[in-house]
Amino acid sequence: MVTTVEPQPVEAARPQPEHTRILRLCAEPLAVAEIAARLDLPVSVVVIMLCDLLEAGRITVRPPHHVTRTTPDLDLLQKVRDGLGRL
Amino acid sequence: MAGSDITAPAPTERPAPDTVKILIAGGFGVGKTTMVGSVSEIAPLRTEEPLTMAGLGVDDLAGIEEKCATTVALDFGRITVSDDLVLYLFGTPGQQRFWFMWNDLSLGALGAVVLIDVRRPESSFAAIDFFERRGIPFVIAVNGFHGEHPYPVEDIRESLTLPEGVPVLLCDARDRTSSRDVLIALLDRLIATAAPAG
Repeated sequence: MVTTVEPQPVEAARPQPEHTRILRLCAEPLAVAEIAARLDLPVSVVVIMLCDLLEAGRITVRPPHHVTRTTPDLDLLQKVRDGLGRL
Repeated sequence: MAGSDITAPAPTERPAPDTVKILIAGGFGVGKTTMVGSVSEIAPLRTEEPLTMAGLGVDDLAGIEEKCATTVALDFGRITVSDDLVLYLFGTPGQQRFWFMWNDLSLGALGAVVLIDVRRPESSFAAIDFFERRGIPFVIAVNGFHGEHPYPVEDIRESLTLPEGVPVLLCDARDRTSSRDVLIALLDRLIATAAPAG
């Protein structure tokens, strides 16, 4: 999950057009794969640009929920199950 | 200084939602794109890379007459489960030569749906092997061509030589409710195996 940081840090360098598009897209949190699809760029390229932005402090990144096989999170599973049931 | 005391609306500090993912696997043309599309709340997204020359002649397209373009990258869908939880669906081909992608994708996945085309069940064997070997929980969803299911579940189960306990469901990947029910069956399986015995 990637979110744009507002306001942008004062010392920020002028971003590339792709960077700007990412920042615009990520006003609301967005998954990396979704960014790649919207920009029509391979995920690997987007990841590199996200690293630039992360380094510049322009975005925050939240990793996916940590799932382990040994100690499954029953509450989480139930929550997903209930959410699907409401569809 | 008129107006300067009007503070800009504080950026809504809504924390990014927690995210989980489920994989949709299976051979070419079994309906992965269709299934992701039918349950996703967004139009299914795709980061597409054209099939390389190496794939030509290797990918058996017999019997999938209506599918003229095929994907080697990601189909991607999203379901907002609640305010703070989002489920992502990832569909990619299950052939062994794409396993390098699956290795990354399967990290942190809750589980997987393996889609089967009854006309060509063998095209999904590699996906079954992948999840079985890595201990990733999965369910089998048999996608009926035009929604039709000529074979009983038990026959299909037998032909796939599945491990005990792996659910086999008949579905119509074009149908939202049917595809949702497949995901629910996967969650039920995850919950059943996660719950402390007794």
